[in-house]
Amino acid sequence: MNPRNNRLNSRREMIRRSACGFGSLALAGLLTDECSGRDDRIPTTLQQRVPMIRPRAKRVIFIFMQGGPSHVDSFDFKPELLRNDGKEIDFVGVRFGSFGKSGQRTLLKPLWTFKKHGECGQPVSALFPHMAKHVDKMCMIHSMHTEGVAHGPSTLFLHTGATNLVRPSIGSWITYGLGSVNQNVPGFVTIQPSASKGGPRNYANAFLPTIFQGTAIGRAGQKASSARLRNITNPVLPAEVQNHQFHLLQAINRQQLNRAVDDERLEATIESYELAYRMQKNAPEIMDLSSEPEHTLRLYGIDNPKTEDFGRQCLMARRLAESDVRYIQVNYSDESANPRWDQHSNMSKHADHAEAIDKPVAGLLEDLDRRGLLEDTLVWWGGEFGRTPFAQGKDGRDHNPRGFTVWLAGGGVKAGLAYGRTDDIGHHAVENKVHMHDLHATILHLLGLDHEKLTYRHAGRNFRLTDVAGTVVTDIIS
Amino acid sequence: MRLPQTEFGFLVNRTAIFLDQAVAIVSAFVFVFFVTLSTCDAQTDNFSPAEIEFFESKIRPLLVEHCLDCHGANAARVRGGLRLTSRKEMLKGGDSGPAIVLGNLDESLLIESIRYDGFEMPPKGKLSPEEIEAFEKWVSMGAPDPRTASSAPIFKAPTIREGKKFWAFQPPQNHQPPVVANTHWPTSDIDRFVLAKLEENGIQPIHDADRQTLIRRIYLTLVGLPPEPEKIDSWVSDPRETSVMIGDLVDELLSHSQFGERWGRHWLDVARFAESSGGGRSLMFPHAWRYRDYVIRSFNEDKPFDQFVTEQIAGDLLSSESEDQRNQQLIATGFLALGPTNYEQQDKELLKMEVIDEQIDTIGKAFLGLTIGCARCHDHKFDPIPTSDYYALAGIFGSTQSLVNNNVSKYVVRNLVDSKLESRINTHRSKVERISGELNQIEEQLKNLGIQVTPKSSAPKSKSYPIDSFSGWVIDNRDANKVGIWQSSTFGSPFIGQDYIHDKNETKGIKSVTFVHLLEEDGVYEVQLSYSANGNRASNVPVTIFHQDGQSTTLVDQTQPTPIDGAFISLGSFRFSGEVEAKVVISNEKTNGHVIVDSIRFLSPQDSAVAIQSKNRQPAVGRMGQGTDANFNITLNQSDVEHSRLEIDSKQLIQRFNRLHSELTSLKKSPPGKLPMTMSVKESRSPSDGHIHIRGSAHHLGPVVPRGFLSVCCQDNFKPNIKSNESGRLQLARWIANSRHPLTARVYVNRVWRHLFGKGLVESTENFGKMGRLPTHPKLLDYLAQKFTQSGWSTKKLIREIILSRVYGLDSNGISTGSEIDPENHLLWKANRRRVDAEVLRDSILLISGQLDDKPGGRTIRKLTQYDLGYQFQTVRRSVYVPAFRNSMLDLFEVFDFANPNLVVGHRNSSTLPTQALFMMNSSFVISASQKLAQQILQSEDSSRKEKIERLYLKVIGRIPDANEMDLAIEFLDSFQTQFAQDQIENGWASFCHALFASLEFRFFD
Repeated sequence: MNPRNNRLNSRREMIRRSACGFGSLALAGLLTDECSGRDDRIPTTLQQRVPMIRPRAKRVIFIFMQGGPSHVDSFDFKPELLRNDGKEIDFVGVRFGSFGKSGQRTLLKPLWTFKKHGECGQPVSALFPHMAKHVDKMCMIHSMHTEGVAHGPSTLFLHTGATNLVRPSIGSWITYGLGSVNQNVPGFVTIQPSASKGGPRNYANAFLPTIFQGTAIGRAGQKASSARLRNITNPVLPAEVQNHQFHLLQAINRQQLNRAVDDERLEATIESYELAYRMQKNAPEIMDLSSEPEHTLRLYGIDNPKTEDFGRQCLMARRLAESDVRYIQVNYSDESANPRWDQHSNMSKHADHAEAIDKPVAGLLEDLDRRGLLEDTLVWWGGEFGRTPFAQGKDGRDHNPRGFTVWLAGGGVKAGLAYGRTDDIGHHAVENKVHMHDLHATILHLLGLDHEKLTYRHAGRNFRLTDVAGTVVTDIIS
Repeated sequence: MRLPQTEFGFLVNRTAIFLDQAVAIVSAFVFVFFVTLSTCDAQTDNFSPAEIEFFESKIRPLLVEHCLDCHGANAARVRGGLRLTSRKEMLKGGDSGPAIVLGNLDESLLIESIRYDGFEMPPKGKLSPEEIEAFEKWVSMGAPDPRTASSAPIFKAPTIREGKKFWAFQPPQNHQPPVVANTHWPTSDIDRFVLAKLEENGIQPIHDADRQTLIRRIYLTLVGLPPEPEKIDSWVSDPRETSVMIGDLVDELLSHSQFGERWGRHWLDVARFAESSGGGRSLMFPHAWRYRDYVIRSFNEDKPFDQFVTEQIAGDLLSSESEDQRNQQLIATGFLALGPTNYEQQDKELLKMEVIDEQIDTIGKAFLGLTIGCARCHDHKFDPIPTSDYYALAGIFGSTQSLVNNNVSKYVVRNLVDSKLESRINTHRSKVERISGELNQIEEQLKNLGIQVTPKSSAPKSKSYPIDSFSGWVIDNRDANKVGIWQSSTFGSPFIGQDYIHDKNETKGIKSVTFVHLLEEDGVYEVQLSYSANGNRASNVPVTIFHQDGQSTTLVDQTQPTPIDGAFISLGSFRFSGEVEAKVVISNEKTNGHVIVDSIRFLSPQDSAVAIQSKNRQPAVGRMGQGTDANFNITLNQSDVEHSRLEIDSKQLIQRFNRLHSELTSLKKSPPGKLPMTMSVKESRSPSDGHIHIRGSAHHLGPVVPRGFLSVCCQDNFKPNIKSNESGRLQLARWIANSRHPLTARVYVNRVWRHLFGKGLVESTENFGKMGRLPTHPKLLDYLAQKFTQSGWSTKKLIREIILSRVYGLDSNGISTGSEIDPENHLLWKANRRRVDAEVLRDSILLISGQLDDKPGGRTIRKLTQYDLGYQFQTVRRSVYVPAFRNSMLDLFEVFDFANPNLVVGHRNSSTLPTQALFMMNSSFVISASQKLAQQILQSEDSSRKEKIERLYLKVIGRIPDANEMDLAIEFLDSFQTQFAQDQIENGWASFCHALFASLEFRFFD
């Protein structure tokens, strides 16, 4: 008998003998995909794996600003745009109907005043007074550019590196590459994701094993206080009754297991019940904010109705980070046809959105910093694209995938840095351009993964998050 | 009609050797030719020291700093297939062509790229003007470069000739069933193939499965539902031979409509079936259910698989003998239209290519088990599929219309035929026509008598009309593309559909509504607009119609009523093409009041006749009423006519008018319905060969390649016979659905085998190429493929033969030498224990708890559903009928590895996840089913507790409990009562049922 079978048999013996649960058994190698025809070396479990290169961050919190916040009104200060307000510029259309046609557009100045902040002296507009206090923690990338012009394609590209083809989400790639530290919670969590603009595909595993799919807590559009993991509690049975039933279930299962000849999957299924029961006990506690002190709630703006919702999401993100969830996405999203930051008209509405997220995000940065979590947590703030420096209609801005700003903080990036540049009006990225593929490559790198080696064989070839592109932006790594 | 097989260019064994020799001769010639060429090329020009110095000082440093990381000899991956390592390499160039063209600066891609004119190189930022100038000067000098490095080709794609040697591209062979040592064991030829392999490897097959196990296995694999307890009882106690019984049972189940529901679903997995597009802006596919029902019906009727293939690729091009056949064939092409397309993609060239790519990829994986999609950007790295083959196929689908472009584009829908309905529509129309005409006459007569007729304002008038109550094509505002904020309203009337919309009388010049519609045929159509008229409306609403002769704008006065059919006004008649969508844009530019948009109607000349008739009957506005008639105000102009004479004549006329009018009203209230529609494709107006797209970019075109198929599966130099006015889809379909094709039958029988055994003979069901798995039993695969095509491509016969084999009936539990030698059971010494899939899990729970609604077919998405997200899946019908969306899925499906509707899935994942355990433990679906099952069990008063427990075990997991299991159950039920509450008997039972549903044997089958 080969060693593999010996290992299984002893493990099997433990399961058979164990009368009440298997808490002591490691999860290793058991929650497997049955899918045959795959290489045995490919990870199919959430077991922690050794990074390929020295990691600078252990986890990611991505704060997704859906709809595309305007960079020229927030972080990318363009004096020329201010000076040339109302002037016409040439523009070549990129949308259906205007594709390839040239026309004139009228420049629209930033609608909020900029001031320099922090030791680094980075300009931030009056939109984000709270975040502005943390510029010394941030690494701004002003030269982002991406694919797609409409929300759907660009949002998918942001999450999966493809505008149309079905590819795994970055969070799935990362949990696939690194596994998860805490086996009692999912490795990839997305808080209140939107079901539109790509919807579940933005956090789906595509062809990666199912265990790497993102787990949604709640959905966009509901109150953050009611966002839950699905099926995490039994709606009918009181805890002690369910406990009784759980013991019956596992006893029945053990009897059935005893009737069968060796089968790893049967054992894995029994263990999945154990894990689920542990999650049921642990997860609600992680998501329950009631134990947080007053001052923390205030720090995130949970005491104020305007910031309460996003404050709760951000605080939940910190608690998940503390529980070692690998990839946490916080969504500022809704379910309307025009996502929140999508001000094609009436740019002044940006102020409402800024107010809703500014304090919570600043609170999260401060809280992570205080707890020493910022060191190994990479925080990423940004949308699927930015907005045009010229007006749409009289007071709106259109999508701009050609140049926009995201910022990173913590997790091995240079703090207080402004990297890259857009042209004088903020339309095109021109210097040290960072494509979304490059940002993906850099994030993987910071986590200890080589984006060219993190591959998965599917349909006869190896796939990567960054397709055949992507360069790690080493200049922003501390 | 079947064309002779030789026209499809398949490799025939007999001639293969000869052909191979011919190829060798040709390639020898080609080789000599290239050697000659490269000798010429090797001659290097002589450059002066000054010229070389210029390169060394100005150019080489720039190349090193900016270019060679990606275009160097040691680059980790050479980008764009271009190396800038020597003059020769630059002249040769990469995928986009030569980097430099001597003597032509502007045609040199290198110069174009560094000028950021086309490509943008270096990507990190533009070079300085001086640096660009240096490159320009250098190219003008003739690109002096002392470097001689020539490098190996970047990768070597397999040649067609080599490729043909691979097993999958060889035609299936006739294999005699092998001779086996243990002649007693096999009961069929299949068994002999399997046993021969086992004997070769020294493995003994284990014992046969018992009857309980078998009946559950056969039921779940054939119809996807567990057998009823009574059925199990009689099956187990039947005195006949098991093998005879199996034959009868298989025949019984194959003839049941639930067979099609089970096996149709397997095909829907492969066809990446869904009822919405998913992705960015998810479009609903409200007609997709017809394709689903077509698939189910095809399996139930045991449609020959070759016909099934042909219909799905080219059903619209096949002749038909009946309406039903024509419709089924048209519906079948939904296969091409159902993909996960991101219709919002703004680059429409790219969008078209993405759709083509998806179609090719799906056809490749579904029918041929090949990943053809890999060859979109470069020659396939592992399989002998050159890019030119990919674009030969792309030409076929490029000559097929699958899209109607707009900001958010749409798929193509086509009318089904229904001559009975058509004649009802015609009868209805001519009745309306006749009555309207008569009404007009009477009106005219009354007018001559000085009487005018207006509908009474208090007369009940319909506030809203259903959209299908009108002739022609009515497009509702909900299906239009809106710019700016439009307010929905139902305040004014009448309107069509759910509501109308208005511009809130604000931001003039910004808002617009665009209607797009692809008309079935070329022709002149009348365009009409509906709105609810009112005094506060704009009197100058610009409506622009884009037609074949350009565009026309009319100003509509929306304070005026809409006379045609009580809802529309005419915007005029225009010529439209059946290929380019008709477009109507309503803007609020410079308007002087509320702009209302309700719907747009297109009327063919026949349709118009009716409408125009009634148009003449415009009611006069603002007249006072005096009459006493119930429906109409009659206005008399007494000064003009004699009163007494008038009374007699007019009374009759008015009576008749009223009778006719109410007849007309009731006719309009009961429209005969509209012709059903289906998702499909069309032949494009001007089919043509397509360009190769360099590195897959729709904007970098390479040479044109003639339309064709995959060379590796064809005889050398084979050219398909595609006429200039055809796309070639029909030829492609016939080429695929051909018994000589090396892949089609093999790929399909392997799929069937996969569903019967849990694992294919080729495990990678979608990849028969180099990177796929080799067949575990190549001869058996060929035997099955040949038998399948010879039997007329009958799925049912194939399934029957396999199930009647001894190997199918093996137990899954047992020890043999196989445990050591072949622990993964590749060689089939036992049956595989399998997890039940999402549908079996759900349908079984519904059936066992008495909730399953087994109604077959039909539309199942709730009417008026606009979006897939947030859809409430409240249905107890079989899982195949649960709406299958791409942006939201029934939670049970999501958790239990339902097929991803974005991919071709022949082998679903079967994961074991805590989310599944949570679902089984806590979902209200399982909890409520457990309660229902408990109630059901407790109702059978005459049985003892023990009998109840036995029945539950039999119902849920298909066997009765052993003594230990019985003890455990009794102990639980007792303790539940003592611990929690005396009066909670039912909850105790529910809890027990729940645990059985969650137990291993319910979630797996042997």
